[in-house]
Amino acid sequence: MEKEELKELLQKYYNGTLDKEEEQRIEELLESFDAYNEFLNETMGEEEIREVDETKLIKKAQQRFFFRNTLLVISFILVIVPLLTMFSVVYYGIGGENGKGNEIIQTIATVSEMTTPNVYVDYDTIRDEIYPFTMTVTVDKYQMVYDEKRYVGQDRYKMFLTDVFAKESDYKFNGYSIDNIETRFVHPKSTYSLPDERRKAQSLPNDWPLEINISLDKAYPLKEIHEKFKGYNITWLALETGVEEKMKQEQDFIRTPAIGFPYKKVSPHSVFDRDFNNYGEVVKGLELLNKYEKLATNLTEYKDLKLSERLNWVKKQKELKIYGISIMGTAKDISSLQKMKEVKVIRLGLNDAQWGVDE
Amino acid sequence: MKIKLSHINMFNTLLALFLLLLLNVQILTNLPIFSFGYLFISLLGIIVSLLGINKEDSFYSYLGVSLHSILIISCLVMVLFGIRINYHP
Repeated sequence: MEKEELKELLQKYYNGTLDKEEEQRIEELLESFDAYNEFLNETMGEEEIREVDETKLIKKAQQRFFFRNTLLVISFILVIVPLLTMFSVVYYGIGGENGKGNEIIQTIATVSEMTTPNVYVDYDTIRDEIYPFTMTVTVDKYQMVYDEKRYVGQDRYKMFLTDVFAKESDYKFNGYSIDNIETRFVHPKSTYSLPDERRKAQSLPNDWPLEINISLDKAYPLKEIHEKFKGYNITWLALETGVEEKMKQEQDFIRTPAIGFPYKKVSPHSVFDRDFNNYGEVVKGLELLNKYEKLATNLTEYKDLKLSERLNWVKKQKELKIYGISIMGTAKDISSLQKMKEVKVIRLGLNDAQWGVDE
Repeated sequence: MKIKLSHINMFNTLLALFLLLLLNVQILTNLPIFSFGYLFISLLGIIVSLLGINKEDSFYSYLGVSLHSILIISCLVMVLFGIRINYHP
């Protein structure tokens, strides 16, 4: 049926001018339109519902994606620290006994043994903590007062890989600052005049334990030191390393320390463990410090340890020459020492009270 | 696929148990490897793996496995290398 024809028929149906047969035909047609309308309404409704479902689904998927992503990011953030700590432990631990961690600890102990008279690291109480890229080493230090171990205090070194970025001390008044630098020895060939402190001891009680630092009139071989200072409680020996005679100004002494070694056996774990004052041990100690020169320098208050120069000089000499001695003694010992022609300058070191140690 | 996922979940549960055992042992023996805070990472791993079991979703299972594996590997490596630092027999 044509559109125009249908319009005409509908107009006639409205006017009531159609015959019965045509009227029935039109009514059937209109009924089919109702079914079509019903169908249309139903279908449109379903589509609307489907649209609502799709929106919900997309929202749900977005939430799921967000939740997964959040979990992934949280997990990633949480595993960063264990992974970095693991890599740091591998960095410090690889190589076993000769690994970086152990050599750093050994350097810390050796620096103390070779640059500070009669102050040693207690190997049994060394603590190390490793965090991402850093290692903190805490050491207890002690002094030997005759045969007795006296606790001095605690030092804490914080390292970024092998560089010291912080050092704390609970017994040094100003921490690690140049104010703590104390000149104990002067080489006989140096033109620097170090004030003598032997008179200071006269005012002290006779049994008061003192650290007596003696600068000698010349550098003596180790054998002669054993003989000449027999009976004294020697704790540390200042070693001639070729740089001491060039130190002429106060600034030189603030910049570079005297290097020496403990007179007695320190610990089975120390470089100075086996043979008594062995030349090999001193070279071994210097080699270790030279290997970690930057670290060794940063572990002290000084700016330049001149380790490679010193090591080469000692290796050339093939024997140990001593120009300074540290003795644990009393005012009585000072009066007998000052009579010796070998004794050039006497300096008094820090005693128990100055270290803050209770008697 | 379902069998594979269940295997992953079972493996995950075993890893979580092993990790908890490791963490507890090292905390009880006072070994300075992992601090107490690391237990929370392990806890997150367990929650993630439980989600994997509940939702039967491989994403959560794999994430849980990865978390536990990373923690176990780093813990063992730290024991292996860390034990030699400052060790005096």
